[in-house]
Amino acid sequence: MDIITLEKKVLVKNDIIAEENKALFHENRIFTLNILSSPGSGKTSILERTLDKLSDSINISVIVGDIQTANDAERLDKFKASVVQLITNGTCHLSSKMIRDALNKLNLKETDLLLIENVGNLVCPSGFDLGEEKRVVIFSTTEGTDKPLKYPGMFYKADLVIINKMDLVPYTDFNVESAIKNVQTLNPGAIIIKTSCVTGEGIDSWRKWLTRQI
Amino acid sequence: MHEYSIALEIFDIVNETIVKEELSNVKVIKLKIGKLTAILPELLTDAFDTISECSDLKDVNLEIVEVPVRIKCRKCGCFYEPDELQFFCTRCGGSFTELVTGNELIIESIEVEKNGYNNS
Repeated sequence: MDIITLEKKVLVKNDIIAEENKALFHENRIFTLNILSSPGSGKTSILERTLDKLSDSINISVIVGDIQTANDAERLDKFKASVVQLITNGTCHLSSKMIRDALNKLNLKETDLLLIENVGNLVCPSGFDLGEEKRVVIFSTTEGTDKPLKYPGMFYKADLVIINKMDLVPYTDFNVESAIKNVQTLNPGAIIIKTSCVTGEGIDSWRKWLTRQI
Repeated sequence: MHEYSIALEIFDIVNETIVKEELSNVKVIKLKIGKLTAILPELLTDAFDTISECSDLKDVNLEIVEVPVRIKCRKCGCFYEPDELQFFCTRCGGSFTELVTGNELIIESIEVEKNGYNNS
């Protein structure tokens, strides 16, 4: 048998386009954030609270990824931000090519901050570089204290981890201290912010973190 | 993990290589897959078999090497392979650690039958 060595990354095509996306972002001085989480953790609610306060002072564009429906984009439409909804029709993650296609619908010269709300999934999106500068991973108090440990491939790459739905802690057996330790076990350097879209806890800290990135 | 779309990428890359290198009679595709990718080798093999069924790659075997998670501690210099991922060094407890292996998704090589090159 003849052996032909390739040593080629399977996702090389995605990575090439991700680098092109990154170059575009740098050229246009855009800070891009990939927002990842499981379904129902509160990504869109956090984005609503974000756009509510920041979209008047910062030029924000949002790309929303869902398998079906434009419901999330519709929720964000009422704010002063450009919103593009990507419907993947079954693909469980966004890819760099999908982002590149979405960028054609945005005014990059008029964008300072690009927020990408990825498909709700803690497994598949982790392997797909979109060209983002940083990643935030959100999980909520109703998902269990050990959630991070079950999805190490996602949490170890996060720059920021948000623990959402803090208002529900009294009604669950979620242990905040243990959950924080679980995140740190996988990612000692991750910044962790505890939030609630109901009480407003932590939302200012999140917005401050975001503003400092631009 | 979405083994079907990964299998499709592998199928496309190998087919492009076959055309570019003028190969024929590919028998084996060797893959290195890190444990952190959460890709299941059996599912990937099944997906590839489905995709390649009506193509020249239909009898190709996937040989998959699963790469363990290996972490280096930059404080004490040790390497460790935890059963469950943890970035606090198991020897010194330090957090100045980095992933060395475990996140790969690579086509290492393809094997063709001797004289498996097209005559030009």
